[in-house]
Amino acid sequence: MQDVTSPIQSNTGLESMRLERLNRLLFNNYPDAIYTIALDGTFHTVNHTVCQILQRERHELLGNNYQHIIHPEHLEESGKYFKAAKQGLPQRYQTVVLNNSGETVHLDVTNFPLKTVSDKMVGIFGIAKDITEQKERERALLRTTQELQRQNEELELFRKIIAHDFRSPVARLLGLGKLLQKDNLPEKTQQTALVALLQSAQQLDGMVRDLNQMLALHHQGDEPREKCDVEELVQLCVANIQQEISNAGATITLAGTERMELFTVKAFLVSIIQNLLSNAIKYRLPDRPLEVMISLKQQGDEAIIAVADNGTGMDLDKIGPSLFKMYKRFHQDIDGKGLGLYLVKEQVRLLQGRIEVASTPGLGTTFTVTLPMHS
Amino acid sequence: MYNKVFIVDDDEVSIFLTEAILEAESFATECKGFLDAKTALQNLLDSAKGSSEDALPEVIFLDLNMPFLSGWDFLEALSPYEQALKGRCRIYLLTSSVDEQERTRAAGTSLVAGFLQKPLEDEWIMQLKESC
Repeated sequence: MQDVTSPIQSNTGLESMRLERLNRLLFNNYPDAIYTIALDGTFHTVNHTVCQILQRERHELLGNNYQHIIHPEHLEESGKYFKAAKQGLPQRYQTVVLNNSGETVHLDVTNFPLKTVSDKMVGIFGIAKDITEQKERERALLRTTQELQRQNEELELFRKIIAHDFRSPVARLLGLGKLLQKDNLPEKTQQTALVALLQSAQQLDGMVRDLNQMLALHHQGDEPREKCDVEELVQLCVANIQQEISNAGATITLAGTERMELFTVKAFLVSIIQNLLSNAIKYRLPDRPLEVMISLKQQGDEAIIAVADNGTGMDLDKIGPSLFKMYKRFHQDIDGKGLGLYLVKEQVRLLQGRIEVASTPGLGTTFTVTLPMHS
Repeated sequence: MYNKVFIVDDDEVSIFLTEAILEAESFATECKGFLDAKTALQNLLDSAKGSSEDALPEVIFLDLNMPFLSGWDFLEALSPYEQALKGRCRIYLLTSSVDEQERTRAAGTSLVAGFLQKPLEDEWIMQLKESC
């Protein structure tokens, strides 16, 4: 059995090794990148790990400026750290470099000023640890956290829907049932109660179906994206609700002749456009023929779809925050389930887009949907 | 029996139900239902300020979840007249909501005389009638 209390048994052999050689061994075999950079910014020495990380041969790096490997977005920042190290101050920071395949590599860098015995700055000595995997894990964790947060908010929303909206027809059914049990109820009251009983049951049924559709939405969010010609989809929507359009005597025009193709979830895009059109028809002014203008515009890598109508309009100061909420209705005379805009908002969100609204009472409303060209 | 009762609810069936139950229990001489909370509020404010001949209702059944003007907004608009309403007009929240947060909020609102859950129970009506 070996005596573990005296681990160094052959230190005579170690002593024979020169410090310089030890250093070189360490330098070459250390698992992190080690390098020296001259004052002009060119690599002076690099160890094997530097070459591995950057997927380059040693000769490709030596004599070349370190800036060539830095990710363009981090150039300015790394320049500052380099300058500070040249002034004699050790630096520790994180940066991003590009390897020979153009992939980004995250590094945790420590740079020391390299001085001669007479205290003259000659360059920089540095160690860099590849933290790409760690960064990716952090990002994945952040995404998961955000998704969890969103799902929690959604759970709270569904709790509210059950506590408020679903409880409402249930309470009515209970009340009507109890009322109908009473003796000598006036004939007319009894009749009204029976009609209301059926209506409430139908309403509850409708809400159960809506909720089911809403919950199914999230699975559809994972559906494959496909190329969607927006103009074609607008025509499809118009065809889908042709009856409503003709009944309202509405004119729907498409502005912007530019062909726009999105890579997105087709069913969502159709639903968004169709809901906005239906909304415009529902909230038109009775004494003014409805005109809806759909305009398409591409801005950078975003598509802007605007649906503008000359309908009743709304006072956004009053209803703004509740506009996209479930089961919120703002027009007393118009039958709506209060679900359309909530669905639109959710679908836009699932496509990583955003929706804005501008409106003037008596003049009209414009909904502007901005979606990534490639979601 | 009360003289005058207001029912403020955006839902027609709810008003019909409350009215029918109150009627069956001979709760009040006059039951007035308001589908539009704003009209009810204006009515109350006029009476509270004395700018209208109409007497204040002795009891108000107020729904919470209404578009345009929620029950909470309604109470907030009435709060400057709390003194004028005190002892003359009792406000009961009558809601279908089973949200405990709303019950807690109601308990902390001095204008609220009670929190009732729909459907209106006969027992509550009896109790309210006794305190007439």
